[in-house]
Amino acid sequence: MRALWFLTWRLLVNSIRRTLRHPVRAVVFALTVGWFGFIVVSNVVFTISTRMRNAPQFPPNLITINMEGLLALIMAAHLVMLWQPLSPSTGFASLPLFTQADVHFLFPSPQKRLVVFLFLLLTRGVANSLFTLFVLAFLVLVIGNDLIVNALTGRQPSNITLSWTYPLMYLLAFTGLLFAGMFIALREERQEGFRRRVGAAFWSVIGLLAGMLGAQGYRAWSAGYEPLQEVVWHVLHNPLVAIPLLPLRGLAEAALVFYNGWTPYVTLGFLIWGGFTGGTLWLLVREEGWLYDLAAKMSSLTTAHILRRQMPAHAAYQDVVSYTASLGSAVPRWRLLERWTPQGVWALLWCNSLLLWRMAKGMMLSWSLLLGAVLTALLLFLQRYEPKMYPMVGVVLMYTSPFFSLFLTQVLLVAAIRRAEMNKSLPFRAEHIVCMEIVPLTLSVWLLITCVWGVFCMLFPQGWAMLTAHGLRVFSIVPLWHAGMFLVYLIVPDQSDYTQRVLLGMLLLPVLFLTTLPTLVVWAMGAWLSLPSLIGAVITLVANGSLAWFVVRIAGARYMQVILTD
Amino acid sequence: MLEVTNLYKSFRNVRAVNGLSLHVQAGEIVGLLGPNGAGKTTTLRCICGILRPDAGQIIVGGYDLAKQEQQAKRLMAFIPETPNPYELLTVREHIQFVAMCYGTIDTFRERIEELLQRFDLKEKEHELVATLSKGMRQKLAVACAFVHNAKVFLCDEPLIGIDPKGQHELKSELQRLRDEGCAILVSTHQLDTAERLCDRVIIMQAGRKLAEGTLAELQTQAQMADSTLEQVFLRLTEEAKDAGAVVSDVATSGQ
Repeated sequence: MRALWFLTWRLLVNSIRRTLRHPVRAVVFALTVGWFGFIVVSNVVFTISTRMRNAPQFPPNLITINMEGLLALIMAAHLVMLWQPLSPSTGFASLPLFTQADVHFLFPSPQKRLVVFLFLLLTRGVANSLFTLFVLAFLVLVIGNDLIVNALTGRQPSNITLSWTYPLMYLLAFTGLLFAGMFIALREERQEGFRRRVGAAFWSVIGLLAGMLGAQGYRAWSAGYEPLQEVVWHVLHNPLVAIPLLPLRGLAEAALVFYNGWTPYVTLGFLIWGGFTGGTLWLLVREEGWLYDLAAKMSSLTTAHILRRQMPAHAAYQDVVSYTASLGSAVPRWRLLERWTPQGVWALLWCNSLLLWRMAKGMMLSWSLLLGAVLTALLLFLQRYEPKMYPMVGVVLMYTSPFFSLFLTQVLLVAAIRRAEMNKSLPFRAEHIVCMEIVPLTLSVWLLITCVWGVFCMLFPQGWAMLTAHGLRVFSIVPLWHAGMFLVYLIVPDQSDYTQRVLLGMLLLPVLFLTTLPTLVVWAMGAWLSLPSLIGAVITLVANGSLAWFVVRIAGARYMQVILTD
Repeated sequence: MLEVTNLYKSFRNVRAVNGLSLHVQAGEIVGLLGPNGAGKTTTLRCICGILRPDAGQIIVGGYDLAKQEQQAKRLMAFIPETPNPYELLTVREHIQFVAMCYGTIDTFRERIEELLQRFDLKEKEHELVATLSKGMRQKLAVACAFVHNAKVFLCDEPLIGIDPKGQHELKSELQRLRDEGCAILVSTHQLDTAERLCDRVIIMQAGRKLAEGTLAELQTQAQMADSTLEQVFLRLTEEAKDAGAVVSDVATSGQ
């Protein structure tokens, strides 16, 4: 154990040292921590000084209705949040649970197999869950004004002493699911198809529940009731649905323990997750002899990652080939693009567009389908209740769809950074290379915005001017967002390093805020000066375009110096 | 010192090692040869305890690896092919970590200076492994294998990536260890090196042992007197490929 603690400690210390030794990263780190600190402290101080005497009092009915909806929402959120540990091979691809270094130097040593395996699993795997808890804690401090006021005034019960409940249950659930994920992977190695069978059983249950809830919602909608409220009621009170969802209910009740206090569901949640974690651990212990086999297999999946660091350019292209090969189909082709044979720097645009299409076709299509489904549901809802809201919803969708597509952008930017080593040797100006990396991403998001704009202009032709004005604003934000994000990735390029990854997570939020700020300022000034909407949009376009070019130039200078192992 | 009996190892539907038996005596260097995919690395990984065999027995210095894993592992040192050390440790910390793993931290301070000097790592002592070249990483892996007093050395392509001076030193080191009574199993594609360095070689193909013996014994089996190991190797592996069957062990048939 001493050796394992030494390893973990030194890796952490050296990672932080390496990050902070770099002057740019050190300054950025200080500014980011300062920014977060300022938000938290100022928010708390402001809350205490201004609202202590006027703690909000909610009417009891409103609290009950909101609480049930909130419970259901938090349960749904956990379904999304907790997939990662169940799929340890892909869920921890960037920050691997096991590395080739473990296989080469730790596994052949006389350390106890089970101790080594569980130590690495818990320190590296559960560290991932701590990041989620850190984000949640930050959100509570920033937006949980009422909570702080209640805790300080004691006017409403806030149960602040129970604040350990949710983190503990979340850690328990994460650990149990991680053990389960490892067990499934272990069995899959020796019994091919095991994962598929478990997955089929899981999705059957989820599908059945979703079908039941959908039917109840539709029935309520047909009868003129509020469908969402009906669905929430069934999630929480219909035994057929509520019992299978008890583990999620436990987590949701633990998250709301500040307001609701310790309910029986919290006790049940601890019992369920505790039992589940214990059970899955027992299954792993029974398979002790095969644990290194699994770890070695999982580390070989990250060998490609190590290769990327040694030969990033080669690996970037290899990624595409292996990804398509894994699909078992021919390389996807885009014949229109293949017929275009540009020269000079435009060849980079051609190449990057082709790579983007081949790497992200699946993700882009699923994202478009999801957006389409949301759009249809919204339109059906509005058609029935608020037809006049069409343009406003269109505007909201135009802003939110590129924002959510930033998750996809993150994945693609990692690939773009890996290409840097090869691209740097090309006879082009750095800012042009950066532009050619950003443009394909921007074009794909623009296409998405255009689709939303087109749909809403058809449905509500009278609102075309407003839709177009906002469309232009969103168009101009997208390249600025991408340029800002690209710059952040250039500052912290090594995503296999814990510290750099955390720093990236912390940096993205302020960068997105700062790159959105000019649009907000121009919009506010336009409203103050009563400027026509289209003129405001054109000013935004010019301002954001200039800023994007400015950021691209800074990114260009940084691009030529980027070294992944630096 | 090292005895492997009827070793089997499969990955899903692929049988990587198929009933392999071998032994390495104290004071002997045995070469493990074979074409790509023959099962050499899997064999070494099973012996050093990274992979669990599906069947078979591995005895190291009298300890059964399956039942007395810690004791058996304490006697072994493994030099991996293309080692990937912990990039965020310094060279010194890396060697210290390995010493801690083997419980030899008490003698670490005495040995570290000698190891750093011997493998040209002194200048890089406080640098992160991430900054080392491929050859230096290989040297670090070799230095780590010498941290504890191993009696069995398992080397998977140990000479790849090392400069000629380093190769010469490593070969001398392996010969010195042999003279001190260690058992050494070396997997390699460098047949001329194997010919000069190894007392005996085992040729593997498709997870099985194709042939085993000294160069003279292999020449007899291949009916190629005065041939090099390379010529013998090519003949035997081609023949086995054509016949689709494994030729019996020279040493066994000779007995």
